Amino acid sequence: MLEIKELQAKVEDTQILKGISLQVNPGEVHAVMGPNGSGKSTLGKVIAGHEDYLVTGGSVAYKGKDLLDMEPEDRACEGVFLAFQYPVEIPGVGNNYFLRTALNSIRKYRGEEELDAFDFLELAREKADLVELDRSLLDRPVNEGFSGGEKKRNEVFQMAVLEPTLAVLDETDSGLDIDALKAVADGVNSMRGPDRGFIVITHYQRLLEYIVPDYVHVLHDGRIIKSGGKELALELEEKGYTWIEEEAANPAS
Amino acid sequence: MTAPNAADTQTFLDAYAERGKVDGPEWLASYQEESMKLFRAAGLPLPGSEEWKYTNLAGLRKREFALAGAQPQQITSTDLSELLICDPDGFLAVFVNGVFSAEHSRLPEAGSGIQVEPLSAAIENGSPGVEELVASGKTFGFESFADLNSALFHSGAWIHVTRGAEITEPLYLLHISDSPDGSLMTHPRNVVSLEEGARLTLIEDYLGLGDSAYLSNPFTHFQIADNAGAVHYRLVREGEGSFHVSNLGVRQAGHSSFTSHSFCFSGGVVRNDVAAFLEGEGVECTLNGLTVGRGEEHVDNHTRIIHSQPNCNSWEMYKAVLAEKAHGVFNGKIYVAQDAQKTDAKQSNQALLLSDTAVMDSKPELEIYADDVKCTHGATVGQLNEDGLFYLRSRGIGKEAARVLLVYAFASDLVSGIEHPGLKAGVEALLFEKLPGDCEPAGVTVGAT
Ligand SMILES: Nc1ncnc2c1ncn2[C@@H]1O[C@H](COP(=O)(O)OP(=O)(O)OP(=O)(O)O)[C@@H](O)[C@H]1O
Ligand SMILES: [Mg+2]
Repeated sequence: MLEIKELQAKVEDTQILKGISLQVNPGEVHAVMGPNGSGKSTLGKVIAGHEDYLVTGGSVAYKGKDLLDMEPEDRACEGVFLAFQYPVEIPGVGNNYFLRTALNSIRKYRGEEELDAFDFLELAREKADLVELDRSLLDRPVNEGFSGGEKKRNEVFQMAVLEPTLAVLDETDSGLDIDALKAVADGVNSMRGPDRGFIVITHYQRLLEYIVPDYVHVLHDGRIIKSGGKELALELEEKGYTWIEEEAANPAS
Repeated sequence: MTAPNAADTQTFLDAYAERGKVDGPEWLASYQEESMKLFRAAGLPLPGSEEWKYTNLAGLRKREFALAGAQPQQITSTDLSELLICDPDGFLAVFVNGVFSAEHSRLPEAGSGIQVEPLSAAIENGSPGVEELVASGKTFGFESFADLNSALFHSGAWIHVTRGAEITEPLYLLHISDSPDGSLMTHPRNVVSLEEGARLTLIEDYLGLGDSAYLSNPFTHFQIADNAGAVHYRLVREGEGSFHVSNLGVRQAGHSSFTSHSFCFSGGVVRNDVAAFLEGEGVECTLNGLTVGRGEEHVDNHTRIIHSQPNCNSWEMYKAVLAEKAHGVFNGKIYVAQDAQKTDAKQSNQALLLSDTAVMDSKPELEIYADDVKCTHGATVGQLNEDGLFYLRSRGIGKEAARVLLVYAFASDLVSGIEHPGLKAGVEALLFEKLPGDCEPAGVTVGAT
């Protein structure tokens, strides 16, 4: 479903992604870990189509199409979703209105009928309850004044409503208390299925206890330097990143 | 200062001479004559003068203007319903080219606590207080255009709310300018007085038909007695070739409140002056304004709030959305006299520039002589938030729609301040009409509720 080949990207004059290859098949969950500044969020932004990031090499195919050639909104309409590490506050736009506009824009793109305010509200409430998002947040301006944890839940709530086929979750677990972590993980797990793929960016093994990944990748300085199964995350938790960095630096030993 | 250029004032002197002495009491004739002398002596504001630093009247100086005849021009009732911004569920007074149109108006009945009539009629009938109130227009410190209005006004609305009367239906004043030959000028004078404890909602709507030139020079003043309260909406929907110069003066006695929402959606060169005098204790004064400009529109808002008594609050929020080559100006003066202790004054001016060629000039002026006060002001000029735009687009919302949504969000707190539902919907529709892209009016649900 997603095939990233030798992807290189820079922001302003700094090369950040230096050749990333990653294949996500339907039904798979890929965890991406790696030290601060290694390029994880950049990967997410490039997949979502942020214009500040200039792709300087490689390719990304999504459902057989050239993803890099598409506008951000068209990517979303084709089923790509990014849960932001730092969700943006949009004062003056109600959360409900925003999400209904988004959902209807996607439905229109797909030739489906738009939802009226009433039907949308019903759906929104159901999904809010699923991720245990306080319903009162639906009426507030998007993310404005939300606590850190509320913002993260709001991302997962949006994902639950928009039902993407490829979801990239960028540190959705950071800043969450233990109950919230479980609620968010339950929300994600309820969406796991044979047609949907996930890239879960995280620093912590703990999330991966709830959302058990099929693969774990370690990103370092713009490259994936190691990939493995879920046990790799445990190893990282125990030993940190240095041993892999050394291993990557001296492939002979 | 250089001497006023006689050529600038000639067209107005000619119009004054041509009209001759108006029917009415002696005081009116001498008031108008006196006002014309003042105007003639001062002339039009000079280019480069401090108060007109950013607003160039060169286009106005080149033109000749004439007063409309005393006969109202014809508009049909079906036209009228299309011209109104909302269904006037209360009272309606329509003026076409400065002339009152009884046919299209719906005035309150006698004894209902509110008296509304054409100012010319109030003057002719000698309504109590009319002479003093008209004359009080001189006391706001306005410049030459207010004098020009005083010299040339023919009509406008006389509005008087009696003691304790709470008028729940809004009063809608529609001033239409229709100037096919590009030479019309109007000088509407609206005189509003509220007795103790009275309540009024007033909508002033200035609408131009067509793109040719005209001068619209309204002057509205409020006299608000103790414990009275007025909510005021002002809409500028003038034509592309228009010059709209308005003055709004407010005098507030103790524990009164005045809230003004000013919306400027179109016009060639627009200049609005507001002066609010807080003259009793415990006064609340709110001045809000939203400008939406595009093309080569120029909108200059000058406000003065004068705190002369203790324990008064003033809140001021002016916002501008400027596209293409539009030019916005905001000048906000807050004066706090030595006696005005415990003043709480907040001023904010924010502009959103949608193009590299749009310009905003913003100047706060705080003059504070009391020591125990809270006065804050802030001005920001910025572009659309790129992060917000990407966030919306990443959720599937198209680029244009996302831009419109963000612009709407910027303006939303001023729109959501409109209490009248019909007017709010009308303003929202105008806002979306004026913005780029083809986004549907979103109704009151856009903003957070
Ligand atoms: N807009 C930008 N301008 C300049 N540098 C940027 C920009 N965005 C990212 N970078 C730089 O790119 C590098 C990778 O950033 P990125 O956000 O992808 O890291 P990350 O792996 O997500 O880190 P973290 O774990 O801290 O979230 C960092 O050094 C960062 O400073
Ligand atoms: Mg990151």
